Amino acid sequence: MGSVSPITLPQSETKTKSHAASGQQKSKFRKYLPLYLSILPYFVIFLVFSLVPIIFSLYLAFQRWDGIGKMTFVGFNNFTYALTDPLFGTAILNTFEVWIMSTVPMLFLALAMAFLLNQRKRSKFLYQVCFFLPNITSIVAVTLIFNSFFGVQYGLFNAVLTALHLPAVQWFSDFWAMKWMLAMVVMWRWIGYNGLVYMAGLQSIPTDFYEAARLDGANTFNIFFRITIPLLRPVILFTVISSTIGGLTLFTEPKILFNGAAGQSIPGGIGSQGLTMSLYQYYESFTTFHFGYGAAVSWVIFFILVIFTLLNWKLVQRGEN
Amino acid sequence: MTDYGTRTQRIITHIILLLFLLISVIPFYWMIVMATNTTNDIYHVPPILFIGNQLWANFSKVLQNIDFLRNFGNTLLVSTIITVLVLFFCSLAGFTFAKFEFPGRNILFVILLGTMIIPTASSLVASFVIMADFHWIGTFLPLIVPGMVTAFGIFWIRQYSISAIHSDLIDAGRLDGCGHLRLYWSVALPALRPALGFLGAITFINAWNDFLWPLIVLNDAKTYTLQVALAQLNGVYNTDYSMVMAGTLMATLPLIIIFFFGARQFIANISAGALKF
Amino acid sequence: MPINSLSLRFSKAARGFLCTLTLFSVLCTLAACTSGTASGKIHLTMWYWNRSIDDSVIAQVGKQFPNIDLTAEKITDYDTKVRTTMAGHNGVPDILAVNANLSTYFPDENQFVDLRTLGSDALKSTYLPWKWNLGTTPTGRQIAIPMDTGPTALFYRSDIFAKAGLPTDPTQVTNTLKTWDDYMQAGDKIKQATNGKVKLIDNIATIYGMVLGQQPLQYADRSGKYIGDGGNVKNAWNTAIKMYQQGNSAEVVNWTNDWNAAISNGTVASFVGAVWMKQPLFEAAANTKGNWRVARTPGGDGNNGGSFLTIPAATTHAKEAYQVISWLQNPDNQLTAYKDLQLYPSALETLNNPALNANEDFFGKENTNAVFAEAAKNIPNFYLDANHDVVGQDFVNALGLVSATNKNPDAAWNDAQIAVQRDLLR
Repeated sequence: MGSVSPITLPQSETKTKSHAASGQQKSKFRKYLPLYLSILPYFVIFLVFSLVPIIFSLYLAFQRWDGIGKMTFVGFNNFTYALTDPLFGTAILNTFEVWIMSTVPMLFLALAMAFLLNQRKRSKFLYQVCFFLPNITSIVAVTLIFNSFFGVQYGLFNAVLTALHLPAVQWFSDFWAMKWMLAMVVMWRWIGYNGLVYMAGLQSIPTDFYEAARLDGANTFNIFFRITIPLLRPVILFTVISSTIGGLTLFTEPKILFNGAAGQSIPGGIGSQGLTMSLYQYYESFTTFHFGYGAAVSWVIFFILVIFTLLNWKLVQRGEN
Repeated sequence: MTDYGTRTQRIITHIILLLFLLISVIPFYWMIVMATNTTNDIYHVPPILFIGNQLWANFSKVLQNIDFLRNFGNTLLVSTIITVLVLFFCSLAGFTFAKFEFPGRNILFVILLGTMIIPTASSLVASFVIMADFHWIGTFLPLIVPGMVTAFGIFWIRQYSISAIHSDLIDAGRLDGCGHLRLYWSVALPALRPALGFLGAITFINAWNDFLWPLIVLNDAKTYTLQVALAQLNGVYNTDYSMVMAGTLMATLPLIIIFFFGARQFIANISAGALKF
Repeated sequence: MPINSLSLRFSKAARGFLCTLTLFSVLCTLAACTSGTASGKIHLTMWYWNRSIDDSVIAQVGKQFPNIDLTAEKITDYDTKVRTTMAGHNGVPDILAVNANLSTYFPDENQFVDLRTLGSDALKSTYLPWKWNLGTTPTGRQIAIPMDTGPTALFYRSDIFAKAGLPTDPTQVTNTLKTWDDYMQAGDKIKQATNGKVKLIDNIATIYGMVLGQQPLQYADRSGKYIGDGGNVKNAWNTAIKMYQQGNSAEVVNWTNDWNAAISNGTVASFVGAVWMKQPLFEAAANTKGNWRVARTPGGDGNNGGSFLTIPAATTHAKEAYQVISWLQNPDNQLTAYKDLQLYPSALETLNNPALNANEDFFGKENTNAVFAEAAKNIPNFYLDANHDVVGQDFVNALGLVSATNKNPDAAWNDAQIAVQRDLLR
């Protein structure tokens, strides 16, 4: 593997054309068959297990249904209701606010973390395992711990603030505090995860790149922006796309943070300021059992996601060509 | 001088990393604290902050309530099968998408990306009906088959392959008369090890922690996965958190051990390899 | 390597994989089936959740009914699983426990067996009338029989009450704090005696629910018409708002560390809760053992929580299922369930059983059962309609805005009404 010139690395995609030209002696069918067979399993699984449910949910979006009784056709009612529901509007706004508040710092910190850890010559593995713990720790444990961290009157954070003679924060009723709390928990759960993605990506960058740059007198800052970032671009694109999808479908964190007593839980906390689109959809489907309406909401969310993912894709990929 | 940067730089790096480490570990530590103390200690104000000696007492309560070993075995079986299948199918498809041109490649990839965003939560009922039609309710198949190859995994491997697999090597392999599977096996897989380590860990952990779908499709307590079984420990009006945490801890420790020894093979090896480049 | 042998290998791998899958599916199906082949017996499946039915009682079903083989499955995320299964018409159990949200199943009452056809009228008089009636649908079908109940009471700190010059003996407290106004005046005395450091109640959302829970009609009348724009709902709202405005509420939310801490460190002097709040209280405030007492709820007795047993219409063994559920909830078994799991009985015979009585150290040797049993028998008939939980949510949300963000109560009330109107549209 050592013979490959590093310069060709980023351009590898354009080089694949030569493969297409080289296969003249075989019939087209035989040439492409293994390729299609390689990607076939996903599409088969998708057709059988996802497409049918998706068509069903599209059908459901035009019905009123509580899951047990008869369905009633309601035309576009569910969609008009969704688009005029102030609560859904709040949920959309919250989702984007929290997404910006969490995803941008999260990806930056994850990249910094990966870069710093990659500089370490001795074993990184213990670090990697520990950074992954937030993702493994059980949701019940996470709920309990953040409950005691963010308690308004007796929480750890406010105890520290009070000790520093700072005003206590109303974590569960101040509208911005609620969002910051949510963003903090999201970052906590996903920095390590994205850091691992970047670390895996960094390992595809040969170290002699760095050695060469060092010899040329580049400092850490230069190496980071001139070598690491450009070479990591495909992986960065991956994290941006997947955290856009993940951030805009944020569900677990607001659910565990703003889940009060049974029968008393306000979806998304006081004033629904922690309500996200996905939590709204879940609440409508599985707490109040408006299955038809829930399906319509999920299609509205889908269109919002498509637009944003496309925008993201364009933005990040622009530099690639 | 083998290490990069100055001494102060290294110290700062160290401090930042330790800070990250601390923040990541605290809630897990708290889980251990709760699992090793009594519920009264947890409710105590201010709460107890140190590891206690009640782990076995708490865990034996778990054993009285659920068939932990059997549920553990179920989860291990299901998660392992899913992980192996995902690693194989996703790496093959991702590698193919990244490194070969064929008619319809781009449009198929866009479709694949689109399927990542398509809402599935509201189709729970339809998914359940399909599984019932297949007579798969009560078996592990509804857990394994739909999840054996994912758009997420293919996307990840594709992105990683773009820069990690050198086209020259593929060309060389081609000249030697290697077929597609051979190229995959001897060129792609070695270069994809770090990516596979990550994908494998994520897949295994997600399969291990999956809750809602197993809950819907499994009926018999004998077939329950750990997460479904553990959820039974919650009371309606009050929950014995020490017991729940002891069960959760015992369900999580294997994950960490597997992650530590399993993923290490992938990640550690390639780090060593990278230096030799 | 030549391409032919490679593609062969590929298909071999694919075939091998398919074979493994098939084999595996057969194995799984076999494993799942072996449990269902009891010879000649009638097989019944029952779904319930942890601690809703006493497992030791379930274990005796086989002895009691030699012809019945009962598989009892503990289910979590209960309603999601039940709805999905019923929607899929596959694997619906023969016996289904349902929680206090039974009325949300009323629109689909024909999915449940009318127990009158199996002789439930004969059982009716043996249970608390109000509890029995909660299982009667608006069309008069009986789709459920009672399990446990949640009679409410006033939990209070006798030492704080003494400091404020209030009576401390439960009977005296019951007689003094007869109305919600009496209760609020007690709050003023507590404030004065403690410089405002100790509050009367934990939070106003609870109080709102408790005041409303004492009323026979709440958000809807029996014809399903919404009546939450005035009357009992407005009354409960006003009481809660007044509590807040007079500074009587500590505003600590249930099931949070703040609540536990406030209960434990004595900044909350009392709260109204159902009988099952005893356990959370023990766990939150073990250090205050001996200081708590229980008196009757100001304003009248109410209920909070409690569950039911139903028979889904999909069953082919309704008769046997009925035998099992009526036996499971007979007075003796309810007594066992109370002793093992503190499930408060709904059978009159059990309620009158002296075995329920105990002098509890945590409550200063008070026999709290005397309070709860009287309350249980004194709860008026009340009606919950299918939208009860959804609509209630809007009011709790509005109250939260008032107490947490100082929103104008009138504006909050109006917004709640608008939210309800929208909810009822869907």
